[in-house]
Amino acid sequence: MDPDSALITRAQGGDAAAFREIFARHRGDVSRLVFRMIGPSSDVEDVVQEVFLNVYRSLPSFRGESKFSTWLYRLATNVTRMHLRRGRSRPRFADVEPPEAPRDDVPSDAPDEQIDRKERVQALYRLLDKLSEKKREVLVLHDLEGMAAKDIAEVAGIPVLTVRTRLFYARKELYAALAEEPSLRAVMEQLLDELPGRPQRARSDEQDSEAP
Amino acid sequence: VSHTPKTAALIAHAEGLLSDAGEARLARHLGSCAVCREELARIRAYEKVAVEARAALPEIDFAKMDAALERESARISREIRQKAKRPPYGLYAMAVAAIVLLGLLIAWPDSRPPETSRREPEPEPTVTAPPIVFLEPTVTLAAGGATKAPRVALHAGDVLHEGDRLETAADGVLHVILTGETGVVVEPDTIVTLAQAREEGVKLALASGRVSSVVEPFQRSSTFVVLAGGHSIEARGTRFVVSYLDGVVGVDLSQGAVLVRTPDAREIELDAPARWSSSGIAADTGDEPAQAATPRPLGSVAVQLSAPDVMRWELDGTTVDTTGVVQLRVAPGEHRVRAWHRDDRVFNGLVRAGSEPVFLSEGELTAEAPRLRQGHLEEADIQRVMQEGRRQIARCHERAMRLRPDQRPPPMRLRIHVGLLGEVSRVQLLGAGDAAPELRECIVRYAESWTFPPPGGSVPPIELPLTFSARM
Repeated sequence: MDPDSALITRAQGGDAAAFREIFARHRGDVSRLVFRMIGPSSDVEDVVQEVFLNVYRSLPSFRGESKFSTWLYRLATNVTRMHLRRGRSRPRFADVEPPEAPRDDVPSDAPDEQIDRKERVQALYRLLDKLSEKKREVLVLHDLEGMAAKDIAEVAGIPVLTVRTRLFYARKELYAALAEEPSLRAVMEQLLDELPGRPQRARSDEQDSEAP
Repeated sequence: VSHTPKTAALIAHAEGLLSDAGEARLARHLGSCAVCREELARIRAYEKVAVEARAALPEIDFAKMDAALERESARISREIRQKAKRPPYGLYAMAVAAIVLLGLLIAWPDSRPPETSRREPEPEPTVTAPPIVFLEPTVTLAAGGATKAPRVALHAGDVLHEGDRLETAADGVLHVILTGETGVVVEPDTIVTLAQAREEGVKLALASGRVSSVVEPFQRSSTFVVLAGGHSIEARGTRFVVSYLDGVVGVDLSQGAVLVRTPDAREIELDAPARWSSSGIAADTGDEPAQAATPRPLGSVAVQLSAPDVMRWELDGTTVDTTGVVQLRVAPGEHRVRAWHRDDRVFNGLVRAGSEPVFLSEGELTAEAPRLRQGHLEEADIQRVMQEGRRQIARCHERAMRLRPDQRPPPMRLRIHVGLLGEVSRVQLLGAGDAAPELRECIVRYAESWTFPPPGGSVPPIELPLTFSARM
């Protein structure tokens, strides 16, 4: 049974407190999804509010044929998609910074490492921005939100196989573009060094690449 | 010979989905295939950064959304309840329509066979998007300790944004102009969030302290709301003060009218002059509030206050933010007046209210002593912090040189402002315009984390000259 069903029934009966409870229960998930879909943008809060205004308006017509969380994710992706399309208001990475990770529960490291990590996350969002809307959506839901392919299929209204195909090609495009971003290329080269079977580089190369 | 990397197999390997035999085959292949090794490094690099991106979570101030969502849920709930009360004319109409449609289908000679019935999909949610016009709230006065989170000192001319959390210290005060004649004064010891700053409306979420507001309607449909302790105080064309101290919400209204909504959905309309307090109200219990909705008039003697360049007046705890003439009605007797000058000076005055109107002007005000005490930092303490700081700055330089080996940073000066508790309240890098942004940001971030012993008052900023060699 859908854990939200009692709440939905109350809201559909005109109980204003039930609307508030729906917001309190799901706002965290929705904000995370919106943030990951549009990137570190100052618009996230506006979009989240827009999602819940639409949830409230559409709730009376919700018939419970799908899980409420799936319906909510579908609505959130629709609102976010509209936001991205409207005036091509894609994330403005130049002037918006992503929140810093790790957060309270993880010890923070030195500022230079924080800056490196922030730059890598920004670089990833820049690459995500180059993907087509459909591929980006599937990749974000799967790789960043951790949703299963069958749930994405329900949210996006496409077959599971299409989800898997889009995900594969989205990742492939990302891998190919990774080297365009210096911060990501550095990670890649470091990992490449750690793989077995790499030919030894010339001694002079190593000296050149050492830190001053 | 060109070789296409085995991406699918490599992803399966990275996700641990290959069989033992598959793993062994891939390991052999990787040993001799540079292209696939590189592809695997890309896959792992992406996974590593995706983990970092997953950990970066948005910091959302949900309180900002409360008013809009409350309004909408109240409207929808009302509609639903009204619909439930209406007689089901819709059902009759649908039945009539169905009979007519059935008749038409029977009478239609070429009617197609009915399609196999299938379940209607869940209707797509309605999506509407009204345009949003943001205001540019601007600081016109920042005296004493006035910051926005996280500990960014504010100065006159700074532009604020929706979501900014403003804090004033015990000696701090902040004036913010929102638009035209609408502005707020954040009084000492106050924490308030600029929850909404849009043409459609302004919303302040008061966590503690006092906020004075002067509100002129800047758009016909716009609203100005202060949220405090579950109450919503809505105003139009009003001068009023909202306080939230020790769990009690108070409203001092000197002009216009406000509508107070309590957490238990009561609505109280106040007309100036009036005072109202939530004390005695038991939220969510349905108890009758003690003396609620009975505005207490301040008095009947007209008082007029005016002085050049005074931006804020306070009389008997009622604060008015204006550069013009202030007109109030007070009770007969003596009243203490304070005036905040544009250049941060504070003046005191006394109003003797009898039966005639009282006019208080510039000549009747006396200057108040500066409120900031002089502090002191020992040279040895400064050197101790700087010694570690220099090592951190050297690390920033090393990193910058790795990224941009050809770019030698110019000499620069690091200026540090130390707060009352020894924290670094502000960092400036002077002459660093040509330096790499990563270097600048790294130095500033380290400097912001430094801590000095509490200086016990205000101290002049500390300057550290920085010169970088080609290699450190």
